[in-house]
Amino acid sequence: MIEYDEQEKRMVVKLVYYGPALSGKTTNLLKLHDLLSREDRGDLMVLDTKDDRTIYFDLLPFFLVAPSGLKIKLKVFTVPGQVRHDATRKAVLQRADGVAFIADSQKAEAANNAESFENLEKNLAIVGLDIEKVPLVVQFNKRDLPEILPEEEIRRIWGPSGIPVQLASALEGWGVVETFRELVSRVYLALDHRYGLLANHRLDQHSFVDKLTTEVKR
Amino acid sequence: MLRPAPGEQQTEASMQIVKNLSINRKIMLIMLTFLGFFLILGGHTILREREVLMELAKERGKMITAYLAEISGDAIKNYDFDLIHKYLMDVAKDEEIAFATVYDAGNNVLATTRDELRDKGIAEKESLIVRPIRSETLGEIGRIETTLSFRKVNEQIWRRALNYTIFFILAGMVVGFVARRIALAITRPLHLLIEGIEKVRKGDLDFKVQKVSRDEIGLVGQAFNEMREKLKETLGELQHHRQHLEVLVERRTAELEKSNSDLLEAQEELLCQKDEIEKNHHKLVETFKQLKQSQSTIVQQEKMASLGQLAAGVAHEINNPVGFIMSNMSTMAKYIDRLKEFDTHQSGAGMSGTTPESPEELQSVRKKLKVDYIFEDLPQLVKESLEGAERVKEIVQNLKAFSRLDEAGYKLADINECLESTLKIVWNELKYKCTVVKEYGELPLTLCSAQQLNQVFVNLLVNASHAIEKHGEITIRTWEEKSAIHVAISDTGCGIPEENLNRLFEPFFTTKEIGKGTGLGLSIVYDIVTKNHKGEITVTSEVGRGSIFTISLPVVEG
Repeated sequence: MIEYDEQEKRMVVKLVYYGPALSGKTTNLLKLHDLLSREDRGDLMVLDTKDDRTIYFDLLPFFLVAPSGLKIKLKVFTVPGQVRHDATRKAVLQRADGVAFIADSQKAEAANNAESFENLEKNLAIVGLDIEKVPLVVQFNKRDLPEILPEEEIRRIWGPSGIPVQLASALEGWGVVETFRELVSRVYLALDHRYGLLANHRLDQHSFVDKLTTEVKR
Repeated sequence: MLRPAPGEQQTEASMQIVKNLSINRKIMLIMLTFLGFFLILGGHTILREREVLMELAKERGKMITAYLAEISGDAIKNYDFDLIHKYLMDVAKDEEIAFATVYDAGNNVLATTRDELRDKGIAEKESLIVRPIRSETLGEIGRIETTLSFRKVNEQIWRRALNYTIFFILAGMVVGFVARRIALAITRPLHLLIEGIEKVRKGDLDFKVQKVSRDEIGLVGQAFNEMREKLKETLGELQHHRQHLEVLVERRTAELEKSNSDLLEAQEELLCQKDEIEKNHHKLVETFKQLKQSQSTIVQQEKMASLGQLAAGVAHEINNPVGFIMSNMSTMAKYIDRLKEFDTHQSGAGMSGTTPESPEELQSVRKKLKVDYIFEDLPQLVKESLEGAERVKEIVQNLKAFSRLDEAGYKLADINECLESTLKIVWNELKYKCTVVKEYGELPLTLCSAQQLNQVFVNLLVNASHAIEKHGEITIRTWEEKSAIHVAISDTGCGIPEENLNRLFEPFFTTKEIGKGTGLGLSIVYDIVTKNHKGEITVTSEVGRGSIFTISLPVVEG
């Protein structure tokens, strides 16, 4: 759950990038780090490992101040994708305020995607979160590769669920910011609903999302 | 033999041992030294690498702990300690962490993997990493402690060390083999060379060293062969030269013997000459003695000469009074005759009979004989004669005082008195030519030979008067200064030319005509003043203006 201290005017929001092993969660964070303005974010914490796998997690913090003076800190985590690190995944997922599920677009990975999503559902339940209520977006990554699921099929499968789906190539850098924008706009709605961001802190959805996704001018 | 020696002597000793090693051993020693060096270098590198790896592991441990702290916060807030334990176990599968423990704010253990994973690796003290668990809103809500495992690092290092050891052993074998080959390559031709040299040394000049190798040693062999050829040639030549030399030596010996006998003859001759020289020398010594005698004779003569001069003056002085004394005496003799005659008349024993004559007759006789005049004149004559005798006495006394015959040797005397008596003696010599000015100062008595000093003053005064041609002035000045008596005798005479000033006191130096002076006067003066009285005599003179002789005598208290 969200950390909120009304007297101190502080709020900490936790977002989690979930997904199967090697689907590009860390790459998403790296790209966000590169593409978004420095002003509103902290440094990316990445623990390098051999074979490009995340054992623990990565963390990219964002900062934001509402017109009321409320200081909001957004912590974006990744989880280790490998099956055996389930405990760590669970630990990261605790008290999450929003989740981005990063799926691998390659046809061969379809089973892993499904398994990981099931795992997400299961773990959310375990840490006491309702998948119906947690803001959730799905990203189909690695669109630059051959042998990928066609877009129509993805739309066909995910359309009925009502969960927004983004296509992306984290490696090439497109779709990453869009996924993040989608996630934070949904998170805003949840926060506004609970804490009255607009009413109490004069922070509307538009400026919230824009501030968090200001791209570096090139 | 390469063990480090603490003392300098030991170092020297080990250096000596190294020097004494064969080339073979030396090469081995060099190779071993290299191997040792690399062994130490390798060990050092591995230790350094271990340090670096451990440092990296620690850095990584700190980061991991930071991550664990990050996710532990939410778990603590959820009171899900089982989950903490689970992900700690998950993480602890990793090789870098030995075990981890999470505490709550009250220092209670919420979860630990210590018991399960105690044996996992070496837990070292400094590998413990502690990090607080914070919540943005609640502050510090717990603490996590992780203990690092260095098993991975150690395994890496051991593997590295093993690799290095294998490499080192292989390298040692290769190096040993190569060293052996190099040593053999050097020593084999050397042995051949030594063998050849040994043969030649024993006299086999025809032995030829075979071509041992193409390197420096081969060159040495070649050079040795050439040298041996040269040696052979040279030996032949030497033989020839020796024979020639023997002839030469014989000839030279004969010549030398001849010159030797010549020399002996010459030596004998020289000895004869030496005798003659000695004889001459004796003669010369004798002549010198005679000369010395002659000199003293001449000195005596000079004395006599000055005495003669004196005697002449004295004679003149005495002659005068003696003359009128004698004339007075003869007058007085006449007067006595007359008085006798008158007495006869008076007592009647005259020519006219035995009766006494009448007073008238007596009166006329008295007139005739000028008795009254006689009585008048007699006391005058006696007075005059006495005066004359007095003068003679005075002269004799002065003469005595001058010569001091009665008081020879050194006595206390007043120099002013000496000058005064001397002046009286030579007055006769001076009085017609010059006026004498006396400027006597007060002088202390001094121990001296007055006789000798009088001679000095006579000499200087007479010389001064001789220097004056017609009429001049002689000044005698005396004074005491710095416990010495000074006497300056100056004249207004002709002066002494500069070239003669230096020779003035030399014996026999004179400017007078031959026969007039001995040339010894001033030299005697010099001797008396400087030798006998330890004094000084100086002269300043200007031609045409006059001379000043100054005598300085140290005051000697009796």
